[in-house]
Amino acid sequence: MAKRPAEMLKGTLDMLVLRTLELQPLHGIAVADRIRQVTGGTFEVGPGSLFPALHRLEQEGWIRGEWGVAADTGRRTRAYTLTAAGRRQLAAERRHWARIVAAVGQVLDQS
Amino acid sequence: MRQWHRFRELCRTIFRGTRVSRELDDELDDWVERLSERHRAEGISDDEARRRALIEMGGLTKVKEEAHAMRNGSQIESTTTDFKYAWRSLRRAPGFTAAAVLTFGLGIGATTAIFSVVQAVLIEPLPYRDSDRLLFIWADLADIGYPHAPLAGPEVAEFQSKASAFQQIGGVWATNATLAGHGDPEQLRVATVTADFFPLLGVDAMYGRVFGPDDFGQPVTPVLLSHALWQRSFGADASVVGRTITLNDRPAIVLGVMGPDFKLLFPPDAAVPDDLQAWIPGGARLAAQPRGQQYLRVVGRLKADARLVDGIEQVAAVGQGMIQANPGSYTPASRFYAVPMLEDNVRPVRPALLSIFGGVLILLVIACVNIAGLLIVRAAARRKETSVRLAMGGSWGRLLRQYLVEGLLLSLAGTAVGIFVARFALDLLTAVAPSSLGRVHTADLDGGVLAFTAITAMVWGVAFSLMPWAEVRRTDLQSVLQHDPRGAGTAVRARFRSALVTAQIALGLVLLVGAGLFARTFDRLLRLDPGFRAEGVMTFRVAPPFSRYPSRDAQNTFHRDLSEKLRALSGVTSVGAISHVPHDNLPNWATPYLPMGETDGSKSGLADTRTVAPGFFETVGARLIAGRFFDERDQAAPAVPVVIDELMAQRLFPGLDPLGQQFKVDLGGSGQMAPMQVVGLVGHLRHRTLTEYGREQLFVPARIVTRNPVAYAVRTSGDPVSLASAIREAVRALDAKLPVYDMRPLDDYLSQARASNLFTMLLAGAFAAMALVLACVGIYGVIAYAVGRRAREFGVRLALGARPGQVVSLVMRDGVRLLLAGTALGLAGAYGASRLLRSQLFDTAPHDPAAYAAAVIALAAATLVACLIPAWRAGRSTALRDE
Repeated sequence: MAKRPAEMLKGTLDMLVLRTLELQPLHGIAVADRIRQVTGGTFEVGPGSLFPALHRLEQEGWIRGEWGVAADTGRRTRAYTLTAAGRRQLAAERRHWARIVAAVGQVLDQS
Repeated sequence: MRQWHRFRELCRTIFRGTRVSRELDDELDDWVERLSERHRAEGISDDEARRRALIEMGGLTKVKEEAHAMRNGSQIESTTTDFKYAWRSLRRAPGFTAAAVLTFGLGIGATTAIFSVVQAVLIEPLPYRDSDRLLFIWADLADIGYPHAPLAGPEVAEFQSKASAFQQIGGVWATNATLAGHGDPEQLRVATVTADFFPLLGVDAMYGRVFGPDDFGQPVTPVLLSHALWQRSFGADASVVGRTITLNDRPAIVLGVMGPDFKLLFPPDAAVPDDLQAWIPGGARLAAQPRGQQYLRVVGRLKADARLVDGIEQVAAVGQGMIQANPGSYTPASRFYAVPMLEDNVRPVRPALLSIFGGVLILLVIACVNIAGLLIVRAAARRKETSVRLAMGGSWGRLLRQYLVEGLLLSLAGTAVGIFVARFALDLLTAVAPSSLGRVHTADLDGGVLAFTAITAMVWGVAFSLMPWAEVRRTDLQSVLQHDPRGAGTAVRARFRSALVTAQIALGLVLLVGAGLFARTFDRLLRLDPGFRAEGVMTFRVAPPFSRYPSRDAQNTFHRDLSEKLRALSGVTSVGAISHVPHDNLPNWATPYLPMGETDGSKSGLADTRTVAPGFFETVGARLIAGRFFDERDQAAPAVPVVIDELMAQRLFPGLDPLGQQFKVDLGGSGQMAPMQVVGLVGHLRHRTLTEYGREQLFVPARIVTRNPVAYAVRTSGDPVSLASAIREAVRALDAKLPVYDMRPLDDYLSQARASNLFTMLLAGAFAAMALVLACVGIYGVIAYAVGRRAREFGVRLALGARPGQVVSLVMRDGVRLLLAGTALGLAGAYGASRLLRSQLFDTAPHDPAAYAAAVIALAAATLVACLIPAWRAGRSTALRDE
């Protein structure tokens, strides 16, 4: 039982990151902050898991990381933007997610 | 678009690895900095803030590696990194790397080279069409010491007509012929073959054609030339086919030229040399020839539908019928048998080659054991490194791969060295191989064997290169890092490694004993008194043709004149002549003999027979036991005066004085016995093999029984080789058309007779030397490692007043214990294994004490020196001062 939520979370994490970046480009730590904030602390994404995830999404071509100078710290930082391919991927994941929710809901609502 | 993106990222990963890695570092730094700032904002000190940030990240190396693993092509990239890293780490330990690579190389190389020889000589089919259908047919006259006797004409004819399993049966015999008209007249080694012979082997000529049925009994003899003769004497001119040449002073027509690879491959004791220079047809009317004249070396080809066993059974049955039909011509135990050509061809060399092969396999095992030992020591040394890398967040998988790659790299380098070693060893082997290993020259590096040994070594190397990984996997990281890394969990490994070294010493001892036994055998052969003194004697052959020296008197006059001319040469002390040089490859001449009153032919003995001119026995220093040797006054009447050896005297005249006694001999193979009278008794000559005593020997005067060619022996007070040109000059002065050939020192024939023993001894010695070196490396490794582990302890002992000598002896005790265990095992192994060598030993017991003692002493001396180095270091331990 212990393993299954983690597996599901991996797919979920991708979707959450893509959705977060759909609104605006962000750097890594900010993505984690935003997810925690939006979910009201339900999802706490540790930087240790987020970092590889961002790089994986970038390799897929769904997001693009670009070096720039951060407005807040004035240091070189890497900000991530959603690409067109990422947008399509997010739409697909939304549909997929909706289907899962509906299906799971049907099972749960069954009397 | 997306594919393009992926491809670009892939290229970046592979080709811009450093840059990608730096960017990851930069980004991680940025993250850590942001997290720390957040903590600092909560009023936490700088260091603590950073520490918390790092904990949140969960191990920088690990995160970075994970992110990196997400990248396209990261597998490829990290593999190249692994290779680079492995290369660096191997280069940092040059001693270990060199030892491991060399051990791999020697093991792979030696095994491959030896097996390639085994393959070429023992396994590769003979170079004839469907050679597995070919059988030799021999007469077994074992009861008179002749297990591989050739056949007589009528016998071959009978097999041809009655053995229906055979498609063809043909025979060959080696003779000589003089080739004239091309510079100096030349004596050729010629084979006469029966009509079926070439079609039977399924070989054709390179130019022209081989003999057909119509070529037999022609007034002008057709002749086939060997490739070598064609190149040397006919300028490799293809138009020589159809030309008339002069052979034995008579015209002969060149029918064809054989290809460069064509050789008649007969067992060495068949007296058919493999360097024949020409072939002529012969053997017409086989059935009408005398049954006592056994001279044909016979080969049969089975019909396509006949089974091997049919052929073998038929030959035995037809032979049995012949023996029953002609009871007077055969001894009671005579029989005929057929044997597959390849099996018979390799019969004399198989035992030696197989024992050499066994030796090299032992060497390969020792090499593998050595590699295992080296890798285990390295594993121990890297315990701390491995633990630190794990603690820093390096993944188990990554480490595993790293060590795999390192093992792979080692075995690859070892294989490369191995190919080099094999190439070199094979060249060396073919150069020093005795002529009995005829086909060794066709040996080439066997790809299959190389692949097999290389893969074996690779699996072995890779398996043991995982030791450091398994080592740490088993133990608790904390304990390794916090405690002395040399302390924990090493007892099991130390025992395992000691076992490996014990095995190495034991196997090494087996090889040393083997080498010792072969060395003893060779020494015995060198010291053996063959019944003559070979040093200082030059030999050569001449064959005065009967066409120009038609009578016995003419031949005798020629030989008397030549002897006088030779005797007059400066430095020459004595001259003699004989029909066969000891240990040459001429067909043996054996004649049946009977006591005077005996008429039953089946009771006849068989004696090796030679014609001897006056002066020969004196020239080669044979031992006169009684009576006299030959002189120029010997007359055939009333009986032929003969010299016999002590064995024949004992058989014929037990308990009697042989001098003046008479007996009868069938010298011509015609069935007619002529009377002989003993004038001299000579010490037995080991003239055919050194290792066997041989048969009774009969020497008849060359003046009375003319043989052609004649071998001269010339003893000189100086170097026999320097005599060659003077000898040629002397012969030319007497007869300018007469070729002088086989000019060789008598010593040369003896060396050749010992060549295969020398070969075995050298190889066994080389294996033993390698095994000894590997055993030393092994025991040195164990002791040095143990000393390193106990350096502190020794330091304490020395500080407390122990004398260095006491510490040294403490360490040596470990070495001696390993040596004793290995020696005990090795002696038992050698005792068992050496029995297998019995057939190859001469005058040496398989448990020859001297060989065993020498092996043990050599092993003990070498390994103790190997132990002494680390022991001496321990005695001067400064471990305490270092701390």
